[in-house]
Amino acid sequence: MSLFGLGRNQKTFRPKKSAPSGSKGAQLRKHIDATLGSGNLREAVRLPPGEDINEWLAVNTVDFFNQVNLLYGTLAEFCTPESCPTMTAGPKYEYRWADGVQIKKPIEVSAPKYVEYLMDWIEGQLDDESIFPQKLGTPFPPNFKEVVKTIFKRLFRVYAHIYHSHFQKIVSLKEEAHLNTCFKHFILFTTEFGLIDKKELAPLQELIESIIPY
Amino acid sequence: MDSARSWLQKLQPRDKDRGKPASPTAARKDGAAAMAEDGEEAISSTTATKVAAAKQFIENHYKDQMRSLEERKERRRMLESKLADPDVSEEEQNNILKDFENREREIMRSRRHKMGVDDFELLTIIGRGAFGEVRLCREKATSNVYAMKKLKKSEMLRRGQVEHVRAERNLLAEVDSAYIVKLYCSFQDEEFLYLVMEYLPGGDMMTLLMRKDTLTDDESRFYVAETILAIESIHKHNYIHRDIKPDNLLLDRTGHLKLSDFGLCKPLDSSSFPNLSEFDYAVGKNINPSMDGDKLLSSSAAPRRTQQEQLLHWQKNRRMLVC
Repeated sequence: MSLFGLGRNQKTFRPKKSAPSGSKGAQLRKHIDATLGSGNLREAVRLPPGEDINEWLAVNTVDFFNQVNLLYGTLAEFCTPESCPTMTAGPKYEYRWADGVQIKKPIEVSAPKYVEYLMDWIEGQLDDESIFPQKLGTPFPPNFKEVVKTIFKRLFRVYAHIYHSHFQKIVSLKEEAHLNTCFKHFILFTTEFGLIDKKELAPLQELIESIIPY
Repeated sequence: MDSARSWLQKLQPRDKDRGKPASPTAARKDGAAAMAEDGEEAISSTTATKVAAAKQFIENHYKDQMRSLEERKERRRMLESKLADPDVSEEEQNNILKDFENREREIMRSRRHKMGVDDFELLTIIGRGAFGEVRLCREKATSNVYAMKKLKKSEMLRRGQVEHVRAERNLLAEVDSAYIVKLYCSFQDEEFLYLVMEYLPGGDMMTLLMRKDTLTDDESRFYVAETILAIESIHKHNYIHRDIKPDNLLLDRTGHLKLSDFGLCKPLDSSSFPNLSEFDYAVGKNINPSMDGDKLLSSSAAPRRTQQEQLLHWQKNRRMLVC
């Protein structure tokens, strides 16, 4: 087991080979242009001159956590164990939970339970002074970027679930511009610093290509 | 995270009552606050509040982010003009650059800082309540003085008051009005919840009434008007206070009134309002409704009531309204 409970080889991401490839991505793609006038996000993600990369990763990790947390929180009434008995990103992708500490073997849980585990786990990392130091002068751990990569990989899964299972509700709540802005910012940031493997991004591939053409 | 005074810390998305997924029935208890455009089921006022808060937070976050980006660029430009000065030696340049980068690192780290009780110097106790105390405190970083409400979690759980406290925190974070006491930030530890609010040194209306005994007409008009504006500002955000009394009307240093203590406040759901029609009022006044040109209602729709019956009817409706 790796330090901070980051099991790297966990089979928590399960693409289903037999699943039909629908046009969900194309549908979502039509909506991605609705964003807030939030300035130049490409510029906003770049490491400022002279800044320590770990400080920059840390402050943005907290910001992205807060955004995902708030956006998913608005769906609490609709994302229930009944409506979402498993954590999926469309018919083709399913996620299982393991943190490598309390739950070593990946388990299948409902989407709200998965997100609860995930958010609690991330919050535990953010509150751990040895991982995300707040006191001035305290250094970041040597494997800090690996911790950040795991956090971003898991936050992406919440976005994938929201877009695939609850996007219509987001539209009816008139939240799509806010969701899209946060997601665009998130993807631009992960691309800038290479935080998520390409295969992990597959559930929202078409959407991502409309943000960053490969 | 954004600066300490920002909306983020008023809302504290990273605190533990993060809005864990509730059951659909629990979420719908408040009734329908808004209807989905596509005619789907109505959303609860809890969800409507969360959506409004999330949107506000995200919009503010991006505004703040763009502003801090510009401020950083400006600081960099000033640094470069300082370094371009031919009188500055190479060693001095290195020191200036190092100093600049350390300061920027501090700014960056302070953005992640989570407020806690250690950030405040605790001063005198200015009040005690069922769940804890209210203390005067001074923020160490700025020397600003606040009132810190400290609430014991176990006591709140025992008395089933968690939702009331959450409603109080949400309302204070959401409503930005000159007539409502301001919430600076909220946080928690293992044992207590903390609400850090603006300190109002003018005391409360109860003390003023006891001291003055009688207010002049002008004073009464002034305070009643400000009370109405305060109540209106929370009604606009779909909350009802349910505990309006002189003790909860506080005065700032200039004598203006602010409403406080939202421990009993409740999100308002207009769909569950009892039907308090003008017609009921007319019956209470013993006016024949059929004489009213605007309201030609059949007698079967509204039976005639005596004043005593009307009073009981009104009291019942009033109870329904605050339940």
